[in-house]
Amino acid sequence: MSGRDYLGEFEHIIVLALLRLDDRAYGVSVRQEIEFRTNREVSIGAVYATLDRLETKGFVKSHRGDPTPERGGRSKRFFRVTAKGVAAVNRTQRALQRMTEGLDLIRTYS
Amino acid sequence: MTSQADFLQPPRPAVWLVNLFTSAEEAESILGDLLEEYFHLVSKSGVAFARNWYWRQTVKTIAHLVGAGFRVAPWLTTAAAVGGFLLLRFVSGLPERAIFAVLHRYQVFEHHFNGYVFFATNGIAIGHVIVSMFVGCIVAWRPREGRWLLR
Repeated sequence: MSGRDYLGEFEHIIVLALLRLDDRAYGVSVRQEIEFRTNREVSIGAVYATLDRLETKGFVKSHRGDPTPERGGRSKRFFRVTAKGVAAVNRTQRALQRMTEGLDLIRTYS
Repeated sequence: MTSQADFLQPPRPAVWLVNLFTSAEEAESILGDLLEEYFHLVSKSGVAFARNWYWRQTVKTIAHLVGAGFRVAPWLTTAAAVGGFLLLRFVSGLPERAIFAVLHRYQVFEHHFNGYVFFATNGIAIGHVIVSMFVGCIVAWRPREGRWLLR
């Protein structure tokens, strides 16, 4: 199994946001979901750079919606996690779980 | 009326910068997303806050896009940056020489001393800004798409 089968930290967060948002996942909703749940300011460029990378790896796929007036006539780009992406997020979660197993993080490091 | 409507729009230089560093397809999504959130922020927190947010997003977005470009095509991006630096060094003296040539040609120093001082100071600064923007546009050229980013 190569390192490419695991997700990086921000890739992991993005895929989880896509899974939470389901068919409502596009740039704005993904960015806001991450800001709301992680309390960190994220740029739209960081979101798209990561989504493009995930799409190249086959972990997500995208399609265009209809243009809307509140976006100046521009269309939304919706994203969905593929079966390969779900497998990658599961693998990453399991690896993290195994790495933290038996560690009393709160007592030892707080 | 027009200036009020313009004031409510996102800062034009920021929009231009995002356009400069993105392909047409990327710009469609990114500018649409930024505009949607910008108008939401204008109604929620005011124009000043929204414009400030727009600028912050623009700077961070460009940094990420340049970083992503470097990961995809490291040699091309490095060559563009080094080439841009060398080109800037080569042409940076041109505005100064051109302005002084014109000032001496028309003997501005003798007839309009204040004008001479203005052009010898501000004129050169403006010339440097124009030259820097020109070099920036050349560096931002995207060879893989075979076109200029500046549309």
